[in-house]
Amino acid sequence: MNINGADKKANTYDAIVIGSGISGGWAAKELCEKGLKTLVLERGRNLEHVIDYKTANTPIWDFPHRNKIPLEMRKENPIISRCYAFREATEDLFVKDAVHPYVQEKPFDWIKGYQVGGKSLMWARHTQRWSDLDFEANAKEGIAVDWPIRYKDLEPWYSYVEKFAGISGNRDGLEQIPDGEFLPPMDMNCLETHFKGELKKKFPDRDLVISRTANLTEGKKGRGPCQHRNLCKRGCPLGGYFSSNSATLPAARETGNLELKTHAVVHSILIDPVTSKATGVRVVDAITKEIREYYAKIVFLNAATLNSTLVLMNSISERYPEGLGNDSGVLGENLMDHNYNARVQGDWVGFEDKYYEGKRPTSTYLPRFRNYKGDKQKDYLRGFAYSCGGFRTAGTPEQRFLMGDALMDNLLQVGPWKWNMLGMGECLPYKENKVTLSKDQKDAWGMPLLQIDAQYRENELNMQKDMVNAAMEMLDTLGFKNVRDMGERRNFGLNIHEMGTARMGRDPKTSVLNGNNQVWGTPNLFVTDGACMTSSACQNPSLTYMALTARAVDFAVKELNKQNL
Amino acid sequence: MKRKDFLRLSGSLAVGTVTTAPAFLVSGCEPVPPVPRETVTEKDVPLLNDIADAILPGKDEVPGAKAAKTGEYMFMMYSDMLKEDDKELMLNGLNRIDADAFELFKSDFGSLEKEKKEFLLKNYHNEAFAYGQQKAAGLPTDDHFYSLYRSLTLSGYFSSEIGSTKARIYNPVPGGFTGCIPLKPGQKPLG
Repeated sequence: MNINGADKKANTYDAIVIGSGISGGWAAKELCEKGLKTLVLERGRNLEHVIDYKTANTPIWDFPHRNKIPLEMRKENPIISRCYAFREATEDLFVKDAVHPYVQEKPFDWIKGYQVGGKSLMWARHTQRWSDLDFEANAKEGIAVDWPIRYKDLEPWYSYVEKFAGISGNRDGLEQIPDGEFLPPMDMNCLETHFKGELKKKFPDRDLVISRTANLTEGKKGRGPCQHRNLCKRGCPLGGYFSSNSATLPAARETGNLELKTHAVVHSILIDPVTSKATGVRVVDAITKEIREYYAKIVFLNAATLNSTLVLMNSISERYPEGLGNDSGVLGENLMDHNYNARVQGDWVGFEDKYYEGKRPTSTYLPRFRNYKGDKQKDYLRGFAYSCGGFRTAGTPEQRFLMGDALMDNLLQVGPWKWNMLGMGECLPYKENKVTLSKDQKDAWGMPLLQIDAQYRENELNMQKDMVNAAMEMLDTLGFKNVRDMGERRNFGLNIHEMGTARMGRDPKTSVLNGNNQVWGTPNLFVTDGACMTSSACQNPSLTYMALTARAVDFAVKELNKQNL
Repeated sequence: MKRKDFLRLSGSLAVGTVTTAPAFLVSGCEPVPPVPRETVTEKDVPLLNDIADAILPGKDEVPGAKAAKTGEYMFMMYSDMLKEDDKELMLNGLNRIDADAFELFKSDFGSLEKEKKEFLLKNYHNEAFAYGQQKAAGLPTDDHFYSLYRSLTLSGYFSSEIGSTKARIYNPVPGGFTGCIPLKPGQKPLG
């Protein structure tokens, strides 16, 4: 590297954000709005809101394979082919298996989105808040390390991000998923409303709510309202749901302070050998493989959990021989996902004369009730929630006996109601669930391959049994017929809630980040994506990443102005 | 299951039909027995369309599987989507249908009248149902080609333009979601 002074000046910004996904987009917006000249580095291609949503209006019959992935592509991509959202309409939003290889010490499905907006384009948009049930759990149970923050620290930031993102939901008054700044909730259907009422009668500790969801039931500045097409994952030309592309990046751009560079793979973070502060980043051009450096006063690392940790591990210096911020030795440890291996269905007799209209882009949600208030489980800690829904089939079960005119007649009828429940279980942080760097294998950009070694352990597997049994018990008690365990099986990682590996904590000896998401020892470097998580709770995590990011930027800029960074 | 067994089965299920089969025979030029194909090709699309249409025919204002070009879809699935064992199942099924149509009616399947097509398909349907019962009882059972044709017919038809717009309520931009409304008599399912 030989950079002259003029180049260095041209490549210097107030702040650098690594990644443009759900948390990187928030970092960019907040930094730009606070007046910092901000460079956002995205390793993938540009993807313009609206104009690059090529399949957003394509009817199913116009896809060459009716929106299914052809066999050849499935064979070449066994990992992403296991993801429910990988379809012909969305296939170019998923990183193909061969593009970014990694080593699976145990089966782990790493689903990645390398484009502007990252996975915020294809996310499932469930946005329940966490509560102190979650933030206090490690400390109360002596698991891993204590979160350095509590709900009250994050509460105003939840409100802040909800108001901007646009979260639809009902104020249900439940402590385990605190109410937020909600747009009007989406409807429940007749069976769901019935279920909610009966559930409360038969199981007073349980509630069914409409999932808080980042779809706009009312329009916001240039976005929405949601038209209930339920094609969100293709990118929404109406801006009906929250993504970096529709919301945070346009807001950042509007300030005039944003510069976005694509095809920029961050290789490492540069450290001042004297102060041990971050001075900038080293970048590999994804296409030309040319190496460049960019400089800034503060750096936000938001490359998505595993890539953020990879960048830290690959940032080797005299100060940090074992990886940046790894004085504690815990960098890479405590990898978590959720456990969704519990799907139960049942049939409902009744409401034959009731139906619904439109395509609701969310489900109902049965929040955590295990190891909560009066409930105490003997063989596992923490708990789970369910994503639930009632729906009517097309045609009746008799169709399997039929052929010809009788079959067509049957399939033109609205069939009976069914109920689906998918358990979403918390995973504990374990030192043994970890990622390390390969010593000899590198990727196309010269980065070492990540070796992933993680599995569900006793607590998760005991909870999994209860997720199935408790669902079956509820459906039986509420009068559903033909209640069945659907045998859902997903590898670790496939719930795409990978988190941890650079956790927040109170003590630099046992954590990578402090309570403001600063790297211990390098206070002008912030990690605010899933890598920072100290535990996993059972709620979908993205809203919490957003709130942590906005909070950390606020702190960072105040510190910068006080000249503390 | 051997073809001879099928003929016995079809005879027993459709009482008297096989004994009356000779009445269907057309006199005149000597029909040529079909040559089994070695692979499914685009030339089989009309046959696949006929099979699909026998499984899912049109009704009133709702066009059926043939009008929805379900045969083209099935051939696309054969070419780009099916694994080897299912490809073989599709191939063997077509050869079997040709052979049965010739043996029973001295004709190719496509030229048969509607009720003869249905007669054959109905027997395959029953056969496949028996396979399913066997499988459910835990007995080692092959897959039946009819089950594959049926499932492809349904997935192809209901993802086609006709199936999506005529056999379902087609509303690509619903605007909102209403949770609980009366189901009108005769209302079709949402697409």
